[in-house]
Amino acid sequence: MRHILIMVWNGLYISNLDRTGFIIKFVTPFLLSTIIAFAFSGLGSSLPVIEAFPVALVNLDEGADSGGGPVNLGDTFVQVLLPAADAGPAAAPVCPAADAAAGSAPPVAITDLLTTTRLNDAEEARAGVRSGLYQAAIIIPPDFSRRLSPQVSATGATLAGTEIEIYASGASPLQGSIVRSLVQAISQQLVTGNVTIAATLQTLIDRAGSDPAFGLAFAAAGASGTFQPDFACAFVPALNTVTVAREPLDAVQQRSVFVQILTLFGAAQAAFFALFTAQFALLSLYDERKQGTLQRLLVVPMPAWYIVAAKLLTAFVNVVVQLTVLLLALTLVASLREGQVMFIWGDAPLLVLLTIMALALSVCGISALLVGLARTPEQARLFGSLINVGLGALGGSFGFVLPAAIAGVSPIYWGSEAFRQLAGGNTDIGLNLLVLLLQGGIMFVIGSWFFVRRSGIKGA
Amino acid sequence: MPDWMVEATGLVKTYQRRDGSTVAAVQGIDLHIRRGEIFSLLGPNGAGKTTTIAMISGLIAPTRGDAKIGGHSITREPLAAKRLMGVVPQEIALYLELSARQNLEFFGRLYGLSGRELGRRVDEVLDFIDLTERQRDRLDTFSGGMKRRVNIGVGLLHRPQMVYMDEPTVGIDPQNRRRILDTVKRLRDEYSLTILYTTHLMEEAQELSDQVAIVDQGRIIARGSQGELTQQVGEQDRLIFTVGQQKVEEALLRRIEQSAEGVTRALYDAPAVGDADGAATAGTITVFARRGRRALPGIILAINDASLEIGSVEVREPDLEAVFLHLTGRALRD
Repeated sequence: MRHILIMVWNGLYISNLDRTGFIIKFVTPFLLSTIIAFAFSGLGSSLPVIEAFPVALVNLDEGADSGGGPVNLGDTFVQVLLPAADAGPAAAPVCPAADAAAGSAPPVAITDLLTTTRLNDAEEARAGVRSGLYQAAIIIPPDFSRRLSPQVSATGATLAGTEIEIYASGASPLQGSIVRSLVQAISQQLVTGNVTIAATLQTLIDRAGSDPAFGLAFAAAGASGTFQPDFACAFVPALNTVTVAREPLDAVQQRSVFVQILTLFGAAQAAFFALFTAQFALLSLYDERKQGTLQRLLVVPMPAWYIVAAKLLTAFVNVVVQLTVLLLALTLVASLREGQVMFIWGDAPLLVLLTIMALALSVCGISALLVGLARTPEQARLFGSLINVGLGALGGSFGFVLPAAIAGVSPIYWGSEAFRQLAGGNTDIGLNLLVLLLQGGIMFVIGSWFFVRRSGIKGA
Repeated sequence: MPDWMVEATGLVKTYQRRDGSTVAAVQGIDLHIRRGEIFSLLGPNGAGKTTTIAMISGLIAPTRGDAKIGGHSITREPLAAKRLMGVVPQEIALYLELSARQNLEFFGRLYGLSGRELGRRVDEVLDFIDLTERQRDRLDTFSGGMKRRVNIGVGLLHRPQMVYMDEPTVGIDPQNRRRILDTVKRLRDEYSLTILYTTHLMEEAQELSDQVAIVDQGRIIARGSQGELTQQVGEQDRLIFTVGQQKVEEALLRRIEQSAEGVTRALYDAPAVGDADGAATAGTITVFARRGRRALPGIILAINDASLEIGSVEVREPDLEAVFLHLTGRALRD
């Protein structure tokens, strides 16, 4: 172990003597993030926080019969996103509990964040986004309620999947992200409500199957119309789950545009350039072979695999140091700009550190795989740069946000998203960490195997 | 029984080409090196010297055979064997971004040195290689000769019992070369180190070696002390006639062999467009003769009869070059 640590220290020391490496590792991502933050926040002017940005809402939902009466979940969306006066008559039945909640708690302030315009034509909404009239469009499909409502049969109750279209402008990534977060939060509430209903119905049907007396009574109640369950409360926005999404939004709203953009781009840039750092650190093994120092290390009385382990560990530590320094440097810039000492990455520094380590593992895994698969160092450098740029584009390093299903391929997405969540005060980043650790772990193991094989070190 | 520092038996190294065929870089080498002696592997470039030394040092695994360093098998007890060895590779195997001292300290730590002991050894080595004044300077500011000295210093840091040096004077000026050769002799004379030295320069092998093995095409073709080896060509002088780019017929060589008393063999070494250093070389006729100076007039007459112009004539006493030429029919520089 001592040998490995000596080599890691030497590797870190040498890599930080290299001016080009220093520029790529620290200076470039730092300057890019800072310049973008200044540029988009109005170069020093004190701009208001993001609020009231225009969004088009198209509700094509035709509604469904929930068993207890007609329900239109699309209207529920409208209720949440539009001020009460503009929302029109609510289709959902009134929920007494919601009335009580509305009396005691403030309503969701989403209407302060969005200026929502209701349209009837999806194509008109998309055209509005393309022309810049709206920064995003939310399009609820015609079968939205039908697919989300529990389908009751003799054997039980089931739910089908559906999707809401978010048509966002590439020029407004932050706003697009906010709309996406809002829609996800509201959808989550609807799904939760419907799962509850489905589970309730399933329980009743199961009991009817196992308890003949109850089954007869249940059938009779259904036939006579006395069984009229009121599931309206499951869909009332004022009740609960929307407030979960408010917390990060509130935290985001408390920050200036400069800090918001700095966290958004800073996280993505740091993660993007970390890929290069890991790659260069691993490629240095080939430089050592060319220089002859690898041969010298191989005749030192220590197992040969120590050399490969030291290289991998050096890459990992290098990335951890890089990310830590960058995040702290961006915090410093934000503090100077805002005129107060602040930590822009949220209130959970341990989670930030954990995210850094998970991201470092992931990018080192990718780099090990890449360097291991390439036939020559030149090939690794060429394809490495292309792959890094590709992962950067997918992960949101270049200012546009792709759907999560596509962006999720890139560790940059999971890493920078975790940093953004933490910066917004949301510590619910378990999925991000899990994906990064799994992605990193698997690639690290496979990549290390290829890397050892390609290094040509026997006994490694 | 002699106290062997290195015992290599039946070392073979073959490589597989892309087309599936195999090429043998080393084809069964046996070596026995006594403690405290300088043993040179002499041979032209590509003869298999570096591959042999790489197997002995554990850098590459032999296809067959084994080597013992101080009684420890390099294949079965590599760590014990490596502890006894110092290595001076052909390349400047150092971190050029670091200073001489930082390089020595890094490798010293890897060999288990630390604290005051490490500092003391580094100071000793810097003094030995005469670089104390420049110890804090980055290596990329050093001349080739100075880098070579640090390269040697790293190999000595942990006080090994045996050092292998792979062509340590390649690409440096005569002054630094002289310095390195003196250093090698001091290591034997003052520190009783065993040194395995590879070179393709006959003069170095002659100056340094207690024992020499001549390597060609992956085999040892002769071994022994210099005296023992030169006896193989007898008391014959070598007469070397440069003939520039002129074509030499086989018939002329036969006529030369019959031209004077004592001439045993005549060889033609064709001109080369460029040698390893890129310079063109003239064609030469080498004649082995028992009393070279006496045979000289007859040989000159024979060459003149063939209408060839003689650029220069050199008469050499028996040496390792002559041995190699005698055994292979080729010059070492080939």
